Amino acid sequence: MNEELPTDLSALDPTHPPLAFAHRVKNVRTAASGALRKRRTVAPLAMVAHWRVPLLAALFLLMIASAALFRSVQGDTGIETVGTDEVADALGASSVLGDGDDSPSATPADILLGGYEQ
Amino acid sequence: MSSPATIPPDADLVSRALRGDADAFDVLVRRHYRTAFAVALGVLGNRQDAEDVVQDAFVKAVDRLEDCREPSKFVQWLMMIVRNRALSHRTYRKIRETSELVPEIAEADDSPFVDAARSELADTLQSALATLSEVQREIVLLHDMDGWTHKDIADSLEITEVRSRQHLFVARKLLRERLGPSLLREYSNE
Repeated sequence: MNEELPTDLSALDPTHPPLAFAHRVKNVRTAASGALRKRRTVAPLAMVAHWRVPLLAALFLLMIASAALFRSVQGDTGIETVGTDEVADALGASSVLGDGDDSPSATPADILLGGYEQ
Repeated sequence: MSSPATIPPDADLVSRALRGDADAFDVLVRRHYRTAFAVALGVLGNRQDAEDVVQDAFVKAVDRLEDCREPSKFVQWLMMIVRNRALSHRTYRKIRETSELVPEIAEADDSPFVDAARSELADTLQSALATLSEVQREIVLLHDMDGWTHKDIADSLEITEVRSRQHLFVARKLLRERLGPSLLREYSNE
């Protein structure tokens, strides 16, 4: 039966005639040219953007490794943290910056050397 | 006869278009224009509207190409965009100015007589197609104009192959009643 046969819809085919189709394709290309141009300029940046997560992860790991290395080096050299009291004592300013004790002053050296007796 | 090497697959073209390659995009447009048009015409029932929607859909596609998760299935993704654009276009359809038709007529390559006859025939077909349901229209256009198989149609429209065949049968029957047998192509290999 004819219902089994394809319908001739070639008159609706947008790819014919070829010149009209070329015109349609050109219209699409013109309409999309802005987006394509944007893609061409963004493409190199997109590559960086594509790698940003691995780069950030690597940077984070590097920071952790640096911190660990710094701590280990610090331990090896015996450098210890010096508090502000010790600095004040070393400068002989502990009596000035002291806690308001009016008793005869004893210098840190006196205390350390045991030469001071109240 | 073209060898497979000269026909780049959609995935390659999509990859190049992602980098802004206009030639690759051109090939995608030429390759899938008819399919996109069939879908748009199926939804809208009007050639001029369908052409506008197809153009709009291609621009949208190139703009959001990253969203095409499976570049090898670009055409399915494109059809989804075309269908959505066509549905919105139908909802907000506006009256068009006839001046938009002028450039196409001016650039037709056949004689004025052939162009007129073709245009008249296209109008007749469009009127006949308008009497079909949306799904019947889309199926008959994809199958008879774009050469899709029932399997591809079924996958695209999420229906069974049997249902696709039934729709096509009814669509052809209705078209034949409206157009007469003279407009039916007698294919011996179908």
